[in-house]
Amino acid sequence: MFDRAGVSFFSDSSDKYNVLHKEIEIARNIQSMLLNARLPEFDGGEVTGISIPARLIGGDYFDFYPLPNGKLRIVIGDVMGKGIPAAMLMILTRGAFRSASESIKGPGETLRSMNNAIENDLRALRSFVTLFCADWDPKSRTLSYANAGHNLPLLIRKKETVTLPKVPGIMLGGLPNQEYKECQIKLNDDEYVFFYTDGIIDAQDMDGNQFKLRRLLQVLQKHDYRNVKELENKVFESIYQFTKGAPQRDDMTMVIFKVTNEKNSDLTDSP
Amino acid sequence: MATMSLALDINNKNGQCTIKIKGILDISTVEIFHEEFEKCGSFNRLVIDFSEMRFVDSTGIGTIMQVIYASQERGYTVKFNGLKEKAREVFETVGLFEIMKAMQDRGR
Repeated sequence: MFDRAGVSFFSDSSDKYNVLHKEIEIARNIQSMLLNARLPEFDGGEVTGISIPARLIGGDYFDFYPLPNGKLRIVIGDVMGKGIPAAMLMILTRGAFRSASESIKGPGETLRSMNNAIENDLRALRSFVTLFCADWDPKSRTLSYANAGHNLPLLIRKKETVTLPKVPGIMLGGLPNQEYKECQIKLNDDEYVFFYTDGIIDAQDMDGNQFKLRRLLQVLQKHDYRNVKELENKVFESIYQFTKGAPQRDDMTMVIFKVTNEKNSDLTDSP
Repeated sequence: MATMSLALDINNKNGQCTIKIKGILDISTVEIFHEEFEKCGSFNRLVIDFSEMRFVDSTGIGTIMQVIYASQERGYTVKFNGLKEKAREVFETVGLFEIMKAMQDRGR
């Protein structure tokens, strides 16, 4: 924005505002494209994800990574803060995730590798990232997962909706040399796993009342949806009915995974 | 929309500084915390009282983390008082207590 002599290229503040506005729009498009890339097709399930930033761009993150062994890796995360600073660290997190997933065996090792890669940067920038990482194995119909300080996803079964069994692990950027334990759960046809960030349950109406987990559970438990996209729409519908046009205070992100018995020939597509 | 505000009651005497957080500790108010905290002077023991904290977001958690990290450099201990169930659950989930324990173990 300045030449070598330190003289501004902008003739007045409105030029500066216009350039800044345009750059933010471009950043928003970049982030949106990275987050909303093609959904993966894989054996034994369907998945969808969406992120709605509170500001023009946000710090929430989700991603899918089809592994060469036929498994699908899913990640969801939340960078401390909001807006442009959080978005920059979200891109850093995405790079670390994709790079780790190239060579890393499981979700626990992925989080360990990511923490090793970005812990120093996050500490220097006084920030942190919470992440939940899971591998779906269509052969054994097992979801293996590890957690770095993120809220636990919800498992939606016919008769109940429960949180996935707890697995320990602290945020990325909190402490160096962290190990992340893994947990496994067997899933059956038509069961859903609902991954989310706290912006969903902390959504507020005009009086400051929060949507809360109990309202989310009510929507999930109704089972008046047939697939992941329909459930995603139902959740947002319910949140917007509750907030009644109050300004969104935090980024809202959800990833919904459903187990099916369908086979996909596209399984080995590289990301 | 509800008013978003933060007030701090700070009492620093006999080597113990107590900070009572009243209201919301989030991205819109953390600067107030940082400014007031820097004015506290020296102490050996810091007590943070959360009993009147109504909401904390990730930026608020990051602020508490900075206070914990600073305890190692400045040589004070940190104690939490009055944590309500929701805040305790959030601190537990992100690993704040583990970080506090690791920092205090290193400081010994």
